[in-house]
Amino acid sequence: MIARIAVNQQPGNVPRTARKRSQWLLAWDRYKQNKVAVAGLVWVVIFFIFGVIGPWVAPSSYATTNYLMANHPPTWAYPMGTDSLGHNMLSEMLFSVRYALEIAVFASLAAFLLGTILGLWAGLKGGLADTILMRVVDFFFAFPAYFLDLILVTKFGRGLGPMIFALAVTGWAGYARLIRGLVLGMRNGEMVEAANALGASPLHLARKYVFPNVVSNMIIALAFGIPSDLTVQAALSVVGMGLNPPLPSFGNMIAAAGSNVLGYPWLMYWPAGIFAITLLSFLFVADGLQEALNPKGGS
Amino acid sequence: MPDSDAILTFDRVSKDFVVRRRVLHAVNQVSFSIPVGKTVGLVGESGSGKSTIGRLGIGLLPATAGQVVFKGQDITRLKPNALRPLRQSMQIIFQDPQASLSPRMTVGDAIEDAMNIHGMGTPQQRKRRVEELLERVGLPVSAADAYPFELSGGQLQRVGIARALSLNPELVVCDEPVSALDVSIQIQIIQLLQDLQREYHLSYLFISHNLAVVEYLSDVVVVLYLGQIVEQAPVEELFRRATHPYTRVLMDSILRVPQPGESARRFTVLKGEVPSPFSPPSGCPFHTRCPVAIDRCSKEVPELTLIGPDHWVKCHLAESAS
Repeated sequence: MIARIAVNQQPGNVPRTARKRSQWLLAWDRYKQNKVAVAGLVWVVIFFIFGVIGPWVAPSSYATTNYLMANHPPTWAYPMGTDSLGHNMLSEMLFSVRYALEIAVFASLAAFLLGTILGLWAGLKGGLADTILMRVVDFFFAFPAYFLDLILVTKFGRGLGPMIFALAVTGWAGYARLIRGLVLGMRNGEMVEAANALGASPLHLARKYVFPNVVSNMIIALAFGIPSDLTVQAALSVVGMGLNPPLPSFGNMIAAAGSNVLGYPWLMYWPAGIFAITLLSFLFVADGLQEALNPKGGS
Repeated sequence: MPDSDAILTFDRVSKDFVVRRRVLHAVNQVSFSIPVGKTVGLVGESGSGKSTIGRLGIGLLPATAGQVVFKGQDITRLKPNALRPLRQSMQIIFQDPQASLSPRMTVGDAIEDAMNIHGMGTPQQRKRRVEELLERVGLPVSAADAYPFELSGGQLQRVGIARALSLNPELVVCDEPVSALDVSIQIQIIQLLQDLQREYHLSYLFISHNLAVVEYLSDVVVVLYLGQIVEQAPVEELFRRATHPYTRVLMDSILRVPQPGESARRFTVLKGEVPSPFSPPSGCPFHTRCPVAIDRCSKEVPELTLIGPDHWVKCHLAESAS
């Protein structure tokens, strides 16, 4: 044996944590540091509130027209002006918020649930199930999503339901691939091996180790999924395959305003401006979440 | 060589992995045992199968052939459910403590969860024990509320040790526990492991590619090459009389202060890379890189031969010498 060397056994400083705080509170603390993300969140919350109460506070139905007041600039009676059919733009906007959110949220949630379940299953099970599912996912990735959306909307119509269906069909593959990759990486990782060495049962392992480590990534993916669905939804309007008029949508309004933007600029400013701010806000929130929920990334 | 006062015995254990329809012999007919309260050091290059042996030893991987006997009980073919109660008695410390801890669990929760899994004590008792364990491994009690990313590598390895200890194990597999740490921290962790061994009468299987670390800690050293034992001896014997050419090359890789009167040492540097374990060389697996290989080495597989007290070597040259 070699003589024992005198060694300073001080392991160094441990950061002072005043008291034990949950992951979510810590994440919120980190989120609050990001001013842009907070601003985005404020806008997103306002947007959601109007999405819920919009149809009730709207001065008229989205279908009400007043031909005598067509293409009128903003006035007290019509704070956002009117379009070529004499629709009150304020009502159009308020209903648009509602439908845009309805489609984006439900389509994202449906895609997310389907993708998460299939991805978890493939990642944990492996083998043939995994191979088949991933080939299907590859197909969806290889096929242009926008084109598939167009086909589905053409086939099933341009109502709310078909729109949600089309976006969900093209959206699930991304979630499935993400979750499957995370689970697969974890299944062969040291954390799972260590938990196995402790004697954790498969259920305990999934509940206490695997799930908490994928849940934040799932939330982030969902936060990016909603603005992406909003965009696709508006992009469909550009080629005339958006929500069926008279149902109002940001895409339809922007597309319609484009033809006479010099004559009636307010028809472009309101929908395009609010839509752009909303998209940015969603992306800021998603970015902020990504930073806040990933403790290794946050400094 | 089954041993009655051994806590863990490997009896001609082999482990094959099938990778893309090709069979990889990761561990080949390995036999040795770990005496109670002692440390066996397992040395070899990456790919020599040392980590696989560690995992076979505590039933994290099933062996392809042979027997792994823990305290007289054959654990080789136990189902996960039957193995679970035994897990308390055999624990493992990993090379990368950061990767082995969940980033979503505080250090205290991570240690407590080990006890939780085995239903040890009440929540209050577990909390108190977490604090005791943290203090024992040299961390402040406040570390319990920290998340892994807030701690340094050395601190995290102490957490890994505390978690393994929380179950009162008898055998601990240390899988390169200091390789990822700064040199100044390595010695702290090694001395902590030594102290804990004395205090709790632990038996260690200490896996490392660093002979100097193994020499410091081990009672018996097992040298592996391509999944086979090439030499095995008590630590003093091995360092006095390393016989296998591979062991000697490893010895040369340790930096030492020359003794007075000792002539300048000549270093043998190993040529080439480790051969692919998919197609190991014929005869002695080491003959492709051996500085003293003879004709016979590429044709005949050498036998493990006893050449001194508990000193086994697998080399044709040693066979003829003894």
